[in-house]
Amino acid sequence: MSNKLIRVSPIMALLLLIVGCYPIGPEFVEDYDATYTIVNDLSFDFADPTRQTYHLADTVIVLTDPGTSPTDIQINQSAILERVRTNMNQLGYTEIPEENLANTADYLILVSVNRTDNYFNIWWGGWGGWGGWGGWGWGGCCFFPPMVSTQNIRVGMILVDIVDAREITPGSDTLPEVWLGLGEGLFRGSQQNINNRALSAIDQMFRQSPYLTR
Amino acid sequence: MKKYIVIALLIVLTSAVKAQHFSSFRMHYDVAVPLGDFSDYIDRASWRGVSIDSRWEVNPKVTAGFNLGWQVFSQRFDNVTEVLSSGRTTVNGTQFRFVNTYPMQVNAHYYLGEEYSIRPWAGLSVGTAFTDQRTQVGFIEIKDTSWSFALTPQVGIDIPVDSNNTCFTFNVRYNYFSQNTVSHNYSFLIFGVGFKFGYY
Repeated sequence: MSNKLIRVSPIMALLLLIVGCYPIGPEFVEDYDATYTIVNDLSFDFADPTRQTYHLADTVIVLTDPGTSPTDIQINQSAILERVRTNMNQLGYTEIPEENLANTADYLILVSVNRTDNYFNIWWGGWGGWGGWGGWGWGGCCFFPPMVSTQNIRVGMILVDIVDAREITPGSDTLPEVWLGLGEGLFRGSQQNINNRALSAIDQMFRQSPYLTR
Repeated sequence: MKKYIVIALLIVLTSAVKAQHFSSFRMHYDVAVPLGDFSDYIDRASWRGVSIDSRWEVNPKVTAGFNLGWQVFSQRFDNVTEVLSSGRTTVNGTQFRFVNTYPMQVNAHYYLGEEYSIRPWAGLSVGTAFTDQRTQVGFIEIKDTSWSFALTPQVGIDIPVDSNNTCFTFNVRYNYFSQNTVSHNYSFLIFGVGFKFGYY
């Protein structure tokens, strides 16, 4: 017996659709959209009434490896930051916008985006054609070489980290992250569509985390 | 107790095979309806099911045999928010839920009426079932596979369609697969239609 949480590749997710054991599956780009929130330490007290302020970093970090995918992520970064700010304010927090006062905030919020291109090949044909009176086989009158087409499944991701600013150690390589919101989906559609889905993912992250409310 | 039931049925089955009495082979197309806690996970009827059933005559009123089956349940749920078992992770999105069940059972049946006539029957299958449950959200999948004790009381009727005792058969089977890897047992009602082919 087993109980497994598996991350399936986008390619595998599509292949599963054509297997009879799994007769239904995503039909539209939005069907692949998913929002995850992760609490790093279940004992962390989000309800602590003394935690009221946050500082939102003014830059969206692009995590994409330039060696594998274009780093020009065509989403409206200022709109994303503004949406995170709106959600935090609606939850009852007060922003400390001044960078020189960031170390006085209770939480530091970092926003990043990623794009991954998953290339794979589809082979078809190559059965050889008619091989004369002996039947089907390689050679003969007509040789059909196998055809290869390359497909790309592009996945986009937006991450919102809430860091416990009180526990940041100057000079340390690690940050005391207490909450992570992650929106993921196919990086397909118009720029407007991608932007809207990214903003919806941000709203959903906070909606499914009611414990963050002041 | 379960072990003794299985052993008893195997003994009956073995003796029936040795006796070389009348036998039958059945193929069914099955439609299933989830019941109980299982219907909280998937409540849509399954139209994808097949089963085969071989039976050997112990006496004119009783047969013993075995059966194999495959039933596929699936359902789409939009905008579902679910906290995973760790309690740390919450996932929202469109969920695609699948359950594939594969029962493998021995069985015994009792018949009313005579051969070559319309015969109602009732029986019980016991054995095991392999179940593969998957929930897909975005690009992740939550997978549970399990082997479980499988109990299937059933009733049916055979209606002869030719002189060789080939019959149209209709049956209703209640499946109960107990297991402990997910929050529900698998219970569902199957309506099967198919044919019975008799031979000696």
